[in-house]
Amino acid sequence: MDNSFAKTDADNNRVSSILVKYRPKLNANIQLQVEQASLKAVLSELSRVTGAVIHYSVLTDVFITATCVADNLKAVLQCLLGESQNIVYQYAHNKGQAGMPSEVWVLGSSLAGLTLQEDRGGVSCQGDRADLAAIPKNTKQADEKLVAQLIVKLESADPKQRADAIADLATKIAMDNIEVDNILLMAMGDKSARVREQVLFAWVYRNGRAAIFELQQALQDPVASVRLKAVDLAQDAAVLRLALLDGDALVRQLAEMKLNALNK
Amino acid sequence: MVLSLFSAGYAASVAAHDLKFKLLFATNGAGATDVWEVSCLSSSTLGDSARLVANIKDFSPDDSNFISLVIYKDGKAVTSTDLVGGNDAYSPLVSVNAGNGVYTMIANHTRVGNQVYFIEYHCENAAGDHTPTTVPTTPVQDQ
Repeated sequence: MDNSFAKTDADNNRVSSILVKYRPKLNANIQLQVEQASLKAVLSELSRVTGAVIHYSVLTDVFITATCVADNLKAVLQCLLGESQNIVYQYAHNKGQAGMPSEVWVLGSSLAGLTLQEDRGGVSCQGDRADLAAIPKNTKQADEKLVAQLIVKLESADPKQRADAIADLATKIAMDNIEVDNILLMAMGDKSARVREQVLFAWVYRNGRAAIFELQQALQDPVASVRLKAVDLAQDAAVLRLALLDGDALVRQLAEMKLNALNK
Repeated sequence: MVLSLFSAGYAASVAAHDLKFKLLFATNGAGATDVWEVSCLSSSTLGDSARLVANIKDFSPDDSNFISLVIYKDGKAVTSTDLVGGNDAYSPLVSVNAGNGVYTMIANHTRVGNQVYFIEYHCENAAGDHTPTTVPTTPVQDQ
């Protein structure tokens, strides 16, 4: 069974294409080529073509471009979603794991923050963990020690020192460290605009597109450069549309440019 | 700080690997520097990545504030500078030949100001075919 389609996303005027090739009788591999399509649409199409029912809870709303080729659905999903994704497969009783799974469950809500790599080579792809990979895998004790040092730095009178501490908290401490989240939330009220800008970056770095609420809040900041940073970091049309109403011309200009780029 | 951040026109890039509308902020002074990381991967049909190729475009119409891109990996580095801000032209394409792995792309400028830039990049094998390239959503340093 082959399937190919191109469509225009109604909200964004975005041209998306999803191509899935699968010939079960020839025992051929599954070829998936996606161009600027939503993950929901991609999973739906994979499900339709392969016949496997794919269950999930929360999905990222990012548009993805990817190429995955593999000889089974499991490998294609690992390519698309990343190998660390927790996925459960149920196979038909009489075929074991050699055949196509009848049902697939993508567990948890981690798909909400997923980012994906693009593969122009058209052969293999993996989930893009570039941001996360940049964080060294310290021991919990090492993280605690570093956090303690950075908290001292955050008490500096020099905004640059505080901003540097925020950047280090964002990029050097494990993503699941709740203490860092609490520190960042408190630092959002720092008296220095430079620090608040860095906190916004830190929050987006650690939370991805789930940071939309904080970005919207930052658009209320009295200093234009902080609002400009929010627009700089924004990937969602909702934030950018809000920024079109900003009192600062530069903030509005950047929001308009980014919105136009999103719609192309 | 420049009066206007942007050039009047914007032509959509046809390159799939690009970072668009990224800012160096005036609040971080002339030393404001953004750091991005991109991974070049191997492919079963195209083989190993040989290099990362990239260039940068200064989107702010202030010609006195030059914006540069540095690519770095494994002790090798190269720089490309856009000498004319606000037009649609990118700086010359430059590359670092350092195989598969994580490349660092650094954007910096010469003067204080809010400055918008674009980066186009891709990984290549020795024959010049585009190999798998990761697409970062946030920099590892954002100034």
